[in-house]
Parts: sequence; C-alpha cells; structure tokens
Amino acid sequence: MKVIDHYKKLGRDAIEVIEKSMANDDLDLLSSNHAFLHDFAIWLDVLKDRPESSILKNAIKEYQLALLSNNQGMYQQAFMGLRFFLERTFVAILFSANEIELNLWKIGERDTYWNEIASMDKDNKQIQGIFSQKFCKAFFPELKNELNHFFTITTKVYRECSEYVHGNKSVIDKIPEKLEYSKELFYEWNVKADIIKRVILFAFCLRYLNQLKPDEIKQISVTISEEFKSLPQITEKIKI
Amino acid sequence: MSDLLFRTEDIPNEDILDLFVETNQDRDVIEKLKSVSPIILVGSRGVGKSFLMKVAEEELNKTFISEKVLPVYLTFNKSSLLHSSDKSQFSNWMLSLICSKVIRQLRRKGLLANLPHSINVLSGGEYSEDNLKIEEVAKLYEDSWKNPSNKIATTSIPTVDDFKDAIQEICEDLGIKRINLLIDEAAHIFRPEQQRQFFTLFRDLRSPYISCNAAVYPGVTSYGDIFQYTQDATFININRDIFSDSYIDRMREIVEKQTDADSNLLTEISRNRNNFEILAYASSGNPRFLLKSISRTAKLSSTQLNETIREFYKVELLAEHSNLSEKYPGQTGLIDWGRQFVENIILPEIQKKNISYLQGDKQTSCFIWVHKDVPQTVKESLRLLEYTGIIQEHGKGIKATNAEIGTRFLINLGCVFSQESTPSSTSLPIARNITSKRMTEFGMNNPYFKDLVDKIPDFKENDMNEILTKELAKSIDVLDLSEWIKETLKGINILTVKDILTTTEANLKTAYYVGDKRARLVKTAATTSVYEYLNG
Repeated sequence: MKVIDHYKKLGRDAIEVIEKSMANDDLDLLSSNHAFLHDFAIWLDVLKDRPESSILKNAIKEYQLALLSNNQGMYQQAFMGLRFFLERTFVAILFSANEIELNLWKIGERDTYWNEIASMDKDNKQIQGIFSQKFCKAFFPELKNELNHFFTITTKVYRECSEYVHGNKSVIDKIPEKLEYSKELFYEWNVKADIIKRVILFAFCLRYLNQLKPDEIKQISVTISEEFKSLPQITEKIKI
Repeated sequence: MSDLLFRTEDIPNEDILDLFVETNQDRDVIEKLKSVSPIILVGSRGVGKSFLMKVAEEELNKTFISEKVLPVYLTFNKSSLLHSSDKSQFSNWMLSLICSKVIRQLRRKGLLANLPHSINVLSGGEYSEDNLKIEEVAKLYEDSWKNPSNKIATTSIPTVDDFKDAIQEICEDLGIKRINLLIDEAAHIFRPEQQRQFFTLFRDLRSPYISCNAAVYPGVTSYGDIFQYTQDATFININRDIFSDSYIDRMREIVEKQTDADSNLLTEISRNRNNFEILAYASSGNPRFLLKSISRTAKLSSTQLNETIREFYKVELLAEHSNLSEKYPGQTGLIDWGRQFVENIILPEIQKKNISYLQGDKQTSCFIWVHKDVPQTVKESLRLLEYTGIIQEHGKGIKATNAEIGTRFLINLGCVFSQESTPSSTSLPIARNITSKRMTEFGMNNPYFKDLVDKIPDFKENDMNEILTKELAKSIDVLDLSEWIKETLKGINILTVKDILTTTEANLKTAYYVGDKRARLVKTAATTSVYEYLNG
C-alpha cells in the first residue's frame, strides 16, 4: 500500500467514526459545546482591540480542532486540545492584566506555567493567578466568595483532562488502540468541554465584565445570562 | 462520581489537614483540645467530632519538636465488644489501651530507643521491643467476646496511680511537657455502667503531665459519683451554626475538598446553587448527612433533590432511628415514642406554623422548647433523637412563656423540608427566614408525654451479652457501607458482621481487583462501620 492510500484509508476510517458519533441519540451536549464557538466569537469581537486577543483567537481554533478530533475518534488528541484551549484562554486573561509579560511571551522571551495561572501557594495557602483575591479585587470584587469554588472546579477539570494526556493506566486503557468510536469517551469529552465552557465564561466575567461598555455588555449578555442565573453578582451587571 | 468519604476514620492521617474546612468555631475547639484543660466534645453521629480530634492530633504532631506536647489519639469504639463478669474489666481495658497507644506513639516519635525505666511499669513487666505484654492483655479483652468463659490475667495491669507515675517519669526522662490524650467514641451510648467507669477514669487521670479530652454522643450522661459535670471538664457541643453567613460556603468547601468530588459534580453544584443550599440546610450542619445526600443527588436537579429529601430525611433517617430498637429491644418504648413525637406532633405543627408565618411575611421556625422538669423518660427519648441527629440541643436554660425555663432543640431541617410536597420550591424561604425566637413549647405536663410515662415509668439499663451475639450474626447489609464494598465482601464469602471482624487484609486481597491499598481501605471502612453499628 502506498503512503497515499494509507492515509486515504485512515481518512475513511475517521469518517466512519464521525458517522457513529453523529448517530448518537443524545447530541445535546455536543450541540451546546459547538454553540460555544459562537459565544466565544462574541467575546472575541468585544475584545478585538485588546493586545491579548490574538492568544484567544489561537485558543478557540484549537477548541474547534479538539471538537473535530473527538467526533472522529481521536480522543487523546481531543482531551489534549481541550486542555490546551483552557490553558491558552487563561494565559490570555492572566496576561491581559500584565502587558509586559504578555509582550515578552509574544517574542519568546518567557514561558507560561499552569501554576502561575491557577494554583494554591503551599506556604500561605492563598490562590495564585486568575482566581486570586488580588485579581478579583482589581476587576470584580463582588465575586470573591466564588473564587475558591471556581478555582477548585478549574484545577479538577484541568487534572482530569491531563489524565487523558499522560494519566494512569486505567484512564489510558479506556482509549481504543485504533481509530474507533467509544461512546463513553465521546460523552466524557463533551462533559468536560461543558465544564470548561463554564469556567472560561466565569473567568471572562471576572476579568472583563466590569470594564465593558453598555452596548458591549448587551452583546455578551446572551452568552452568560442562562449560564450564571444562579450568580446574582453577575446577573445584576447584565440587567440593562 | 465515585464514593465520597463519609467517615473521618476512612481518611489517612496525612490527608486530614488538606480536607479540613476551618471555621472560627472549629479553630476555637481545636485550640481548646490542644490546651491543658480537659474538654469533652458532644455531638451526634457525623457532625465532625473525630475530624476535629484528628486535626488537633496532626497539629500537635507538627509542633511536637518545639512545643513538646505529645498527642495520643485513640478510640474506644471496640468497647461494644467487651463483656465479662469482671466488674473492673472495662476500666482495665481502657487503661491498657491507653498504655499501648502511648507506647506506640513514643516509639513512632523515635523516643523509645533508650528505654527509660518507667517503661517497665507501663508495659506490664518485661519490656520487649517486639511484643508488649499490656498490648496482649488489651487484645485478650478485646477477643473476650469470642470466648466469654476464658479467664484473663490482669495482674500485670498497673493501677491508675502507677500509670500516672509512669507517665510523669516518661515525660521527665524524655523532655515531654505533657501527653495530650484524645479519646474518641469514649463511652457507649446504651451502657451507663461503661459511661460511669469512663468518666471516673477521666477524672482520675488528672495530672500535670496528662491532659485528657474525649468525644461522646449526646446521650452519654451517666457520670458516676466522682466526676463533676461543671468542674472536671468543659463540655463543648459542636453543632455547626447553620445560621451564620458563611455556612453555605463552608459546606460547599467540605464537598469540594473531597478528592472524589469531580468537576462534573462541582459544576452541577455551581449551576444549581439553590438546590445545593437546600441540601446544605437540610443537613443541619452535619457533614456526613450532606455528603450522603449529595452522593445521591449528583445532578442537583430539582427532581433528584425532592427525591433525596423524601428518601433520606423522611424515610431513612427516621427508619434509622427506629432500627435502634432492633439492637436495643429494652429501649423500644423510648425509641418508638420519640419517632412518633417528631413525626406526628412536631413536624406537622412546625409545618402548619411556617405556612402561616410565610403568608404573613413573618420569620419562620424549626425549634421546639422543652421544660426542664419534664419526665425522665421523655428526656431519655429526646436524647436518643439527638443521637440519631434528628434533633439538636440549641440552648439550655432558655426562658419561654411565663418565664419558665427549659431546653431549646433545633429540629433537623431535612425532616422539616420533607413535610413539603416539593421541597425544591418551598424550602428555601423557610430556611432563610428562621429565627430562634419562635419555638413550639412543650411544658412540664404536656398531654403528649402521658403515653410514654404510662408505658415506661422508669429508664432501664440494657443487657448487652445477648444483644451482641445476635448482632454479630446479622448480614453485612445492615452496615453503612457502599454497595461496591458490600459486593466485594460477599464475593469472598464475608456475609455476617462477625465475618468482617475476623477476616484479615490478606484474605480481602483474594477478592477481584483488590490490592494492598484497597484491602486496607475496605477493612478499615468495614470494621469502623461495624463498631459504629454496634455502638448504636
């Protein structure tokens, strides 16, 4: 078999998996995760003039590819992409508050670490990064009681995705050896994506909501009104 | 979601501090436990007594090098297995257990290399690195339920004064300031004789080198002749303040800290905030109630919530109370009356009042007040309700109508909510508007008491021997274990309560998918639940 034929066959296999994925009787989660592309685009539009917007653009591209990977049975890649999407979006949000670091990173003078994005300082037991008291006080002080909660969810979902990237054997064993459909993983990925959608929207609100102009708030409100109806601190702000 | 850890005993010591969600109230209790003065923690099952003791132990361990206070945590939960005709047996058993725990702790701290002279008194004669005689005696007692006719030699057990001298010597020789005893499940709720012996020992152990702390259930009140309630210990009731502003957030943190609470569950909690708030209020400050009800409400949907409130608080909690009478047939009258009192009188009355309060835009209630001079049997019956967690003491010496004095009790909010047809829609207004000023009062000669007083004029103590044999023969289904653990046990032919006590970790490992760590977990979880079951 020629190289060309080899990859053509793999392509046909992938399409077969997509058929199976799409034959699933419950595609609500997939649809809502797909719809998030649209919601994210609304935020991107509102934030288009900010220096960190290029990172966000790159992140959402990766999310689309992760969705595709999951649909065509490349589960490990799908989880990797999903984690990358979370991490990249958070890098953008974190650096949005520090243009020096942002520029150094853009020119390759600096790396990023998950620990600076969201971690617990071992000594003083304070949260570092986006969910820190400092970040919150600067941008959206009313959310201070939610920080711990969202920090915990974020670190858990990040770790759960990581398990598919370099996790223990029991998780890796779930991944099929060849390109084939797994109902369990298809669903699992979508559940994680749904959670990541929520924490990203929360982080967007935490960072930007208080600084948006009324018409911008109007624009993004559709992306969060349903999601955060249980958080009066946020619903208050979008009541115009 | 997999299993949440319902019990402190299932949590490895090194994880205790990570799982700890501290409130000001907790900090206060822990500081007191670590201090010199004797403390007795009182609380129903699952409110966090063991947890606070373990935290105190860990903190003292961490500061041992600088502070030189040696914590020794031990539990008397195995006391339910003790029965012999020997009157001083329980007292000896307690002392021998304390001794062996002290020795173990010294050894673990690396303080036993130079074998101080005093160790000989403590270890009951010859000191040997491999086997301590006193441990053997303690073990012999523990095993006495298997063969009640065997005589056990107790001559090697030192008296309380020998014990105190030995502790003083150890402290002086090893440069230890004092030994802090943390005694969990200190006395059996249904065995007043054990309670008397325990409190007597608690009093006798007083010394500059020992500080004694204990955790007991609310019903444990037979102090004996020596122990003085007001002078010999500070009693701390550790019910959480469910009306504090941070209550809901703290309860949410307790769930978050569980390693098995994954991001799915936490996101549902985040999305369905009100439903979580209802479950947190329903638990009335009892973390175990909360974790159990959350684990069956994984979606946090209103449908699931209503189902959980009904199943857990209306059916199971009350059934658990009734089940006490199966184990303690002697108390059936008290147990049954207590349940009826709650189910037929208190709950409907509170519901009726709350409906009218809310209509009139007034504050709501979940409290009753009981006159201090009600018949003794009524008090006993209320204590049993406290033990199960259906009611909580919320204040002694409270004035009510006509300046009469009595005790205020909080009725478990889950039980209050379970009266509602759809708790998801009507419970929050009740919970958020509660005031302790509104109480349903029960005076000295309330007509509802007559039934009970006619039937049981006096409170009687139980005969344990017969009960124990019966209990040990029961199926493991009676135990509070996850289905997975039960199935695992049954798979290797462990069918009765007694089987669990006699099996080994090695035997457990023959089960499918059970390795070293799992075997330890299963054995610990299973034995703990056996003791807890036997203890009440």
